[in-house]
Amino acid sequence: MKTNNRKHGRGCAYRNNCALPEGCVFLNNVKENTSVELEELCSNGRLRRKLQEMGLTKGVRFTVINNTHDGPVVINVRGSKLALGLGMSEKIMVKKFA
Amino acid sequence: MNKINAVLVGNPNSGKTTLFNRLTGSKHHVGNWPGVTVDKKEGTIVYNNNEINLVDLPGIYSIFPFSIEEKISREYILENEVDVIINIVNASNLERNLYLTLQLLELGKPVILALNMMDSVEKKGIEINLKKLEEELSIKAIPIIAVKDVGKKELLDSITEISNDKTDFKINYGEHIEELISKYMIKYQDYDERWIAIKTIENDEVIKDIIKHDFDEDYTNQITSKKYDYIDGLLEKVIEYKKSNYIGMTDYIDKVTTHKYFGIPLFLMIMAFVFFLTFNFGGIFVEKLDFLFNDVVASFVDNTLVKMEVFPWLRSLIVDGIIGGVGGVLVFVPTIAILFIFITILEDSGYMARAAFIMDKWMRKIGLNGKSFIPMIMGFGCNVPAIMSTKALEDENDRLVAILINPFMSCGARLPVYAFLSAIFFKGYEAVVTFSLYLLGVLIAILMAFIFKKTLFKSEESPFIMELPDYNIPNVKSVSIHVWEKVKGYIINAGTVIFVASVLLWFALNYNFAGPSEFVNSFGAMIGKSIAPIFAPLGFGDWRAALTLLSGAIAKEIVVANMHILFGNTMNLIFTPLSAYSFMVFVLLYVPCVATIGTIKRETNSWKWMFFSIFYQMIVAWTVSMLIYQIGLLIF
Ligand SMILES: Nc1nc2c(ncn2[C@@H]2O[C@H](COP(=O)(O)OP(=O)(O)O)[C@@H](O)[C@H]2O)c(=O)[nH]1
Ligand SMILES: [Mg+2]
Repeated sequence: MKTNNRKHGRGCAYRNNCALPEGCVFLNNVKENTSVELEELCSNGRLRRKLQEMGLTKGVRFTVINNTHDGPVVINVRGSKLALGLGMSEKIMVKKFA
Repeated sequence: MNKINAVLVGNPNSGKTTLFNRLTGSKHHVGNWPGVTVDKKEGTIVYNNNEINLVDLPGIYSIFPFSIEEKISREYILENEVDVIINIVNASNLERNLYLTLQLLELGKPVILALNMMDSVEKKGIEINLKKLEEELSIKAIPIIAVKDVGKKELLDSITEISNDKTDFKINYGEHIEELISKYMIKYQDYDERWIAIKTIENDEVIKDIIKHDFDEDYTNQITSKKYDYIDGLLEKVIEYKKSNYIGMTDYIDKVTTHKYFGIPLFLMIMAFVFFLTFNFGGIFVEKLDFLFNDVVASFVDNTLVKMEVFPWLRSLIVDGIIGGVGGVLVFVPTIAILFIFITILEDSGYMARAAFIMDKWMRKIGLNGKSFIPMIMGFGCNVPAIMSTKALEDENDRLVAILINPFMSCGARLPVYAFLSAIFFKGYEAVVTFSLYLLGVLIAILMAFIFKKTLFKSEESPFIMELPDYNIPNVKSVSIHVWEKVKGYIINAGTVIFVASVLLWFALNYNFAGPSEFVNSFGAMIGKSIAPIFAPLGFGDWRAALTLLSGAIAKEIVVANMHILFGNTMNLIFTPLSAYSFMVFVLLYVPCVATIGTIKRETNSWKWMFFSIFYQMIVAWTVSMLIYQIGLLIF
């Protein structure tokens, strides 16, 4: 068991937990053509870092352009299309905005 | 002459390979998914009394190494004497591309920004204020269109004019982090001090060996965010969008290719189409070439040699051994070329990344992810580059599984065997029979992946993050360069390895310790007879079949060459349709060729896995062929 919780990124308390913050959902549950704002990445060090470096930094706004394959999604973030597997999308917590 | 070491660095699909080929005139592959440029490519350009040594590195999104390719690139940049980094970016998507640029600038090495794809920039109605961009980043920015050779001269000029002065470019990370940076600036080799400090705070794995700290991950988050914030601010100043709401072709095509219901059927249709075209179209050439080699050339040479009164044994060696063997392989050149053209187009157009996306869900069921699907498709062409391309996979275990199952993907060199045998035993159904073998290969690969992931390589689900590049109409020049490279390899192989193998086989079949002998008493027969019993339960316990398989381990197309020499037109006497099918299954599944074995050794860096792969494939091949033959006997 790792005791160093900090390494798992913040917000991970929300994983498998229905008490999501007001207005928040995980990316795999977002409908197509919805614009969202990144709230929190619930993954550990390396993955978290990879996602951030690909442009998924806190607060960034992006659009979900494909979510019909039971998990993997395609998003349009910072001008590029990214495909994210289920393992990724279910760890990305976002907030919808009008 | 003035020597300059330059290196091409950029995101995948930014056009590095295209630019590299156009600058050096060297020929090598251009692809469209992260992982095609896997090995270091080097070339030399002589320009205005300068000798520029140019290196093409694998595409990277960041200096932080996630996959092996990123490690290769990072190590190269950090550890070599690099005079100038040419950072090539997709100018129509600066926001994400400039992230790497900022990281490169922080390295403190001279950087030139090559703004590629200026044609797309124009099409998308984007206007870039170059002067302002150069000013803000304090580097030179050269607009280019790599595919059209635009901006080549300007780029070369700026490479030769680059000075070694350090840029004073700096991003302000905010009070707290800046304080930390100044605290951790240390002299280490000739690295930039500020860069060392930033990497230290980011708990960078490589630097950590030297300076151990464990900073809060939050600092890394802030540093990354600040870079993107900087880019946002910068782009506001230098970019203007003339066409708002521009919707490119890519979005429309994606609606179909990644569609919930149409995506996978479309993919299967494309593969079936590729397959049948390759087979039917290639078949036309095969017949013509076969006639050319076996009738026209062979009889001409034979007659000439008779007239020249050459020894009969030499005549037999040349006509039966060399022309029969090498010619038997060469007739399949068009088929293989057609297959490679299609696979290259799939890669180069950007479709392969979509295929990976729609297959993610299914690949996950066998414990891999969508990215591992691409090497499998490439394996239909040739297992060697396919296995090399697994470098793009981030997870070590996934990568090993992807390598081990790849040889089951039926490569182009096995196609001649199916074509040859099914033309004899399954006339009229060649395409169906061959398709069934490809399918069997895929099924076995999937089954083995599933078993491996459940037993040897248990690991958590690995991440699947992949950029879907804009579609592009494959460039004729790039595709032909690549296809020619592959076909050339096949032809050279026919002229060398297969030539030698054919000659050796001929001698083995015509001699024994006592000198010239009959076929049945030759060396070859002795060897074949000693291993033939192993294959009896599979339906081909004949010594000739055994000998063929043994030599086929060098390269699978040798099987065809040898069958020409060994059987002539007597195939029907030794094989039944059932045993011929079982034989083809064995050829599909048993040891990959020596080239593939070598690649497995190199890529796994382990003798253990290399021998494991040879051994387990023999077992799989024997078992499956045996089952097919024995069950077939019960039914038919
Ligand atoms: N429209 C356009 N396409 C380009 C340009 N340069 C390269 N490409 C295409 O972009 C794709 C990726 O190029 P490649 O050289 O393989 O990129 P790499 O992954 O960085 O090596 C290829 O299909 C090229 O034909 C350009 O200037 N304009
Ligand atoms: Mg490349």
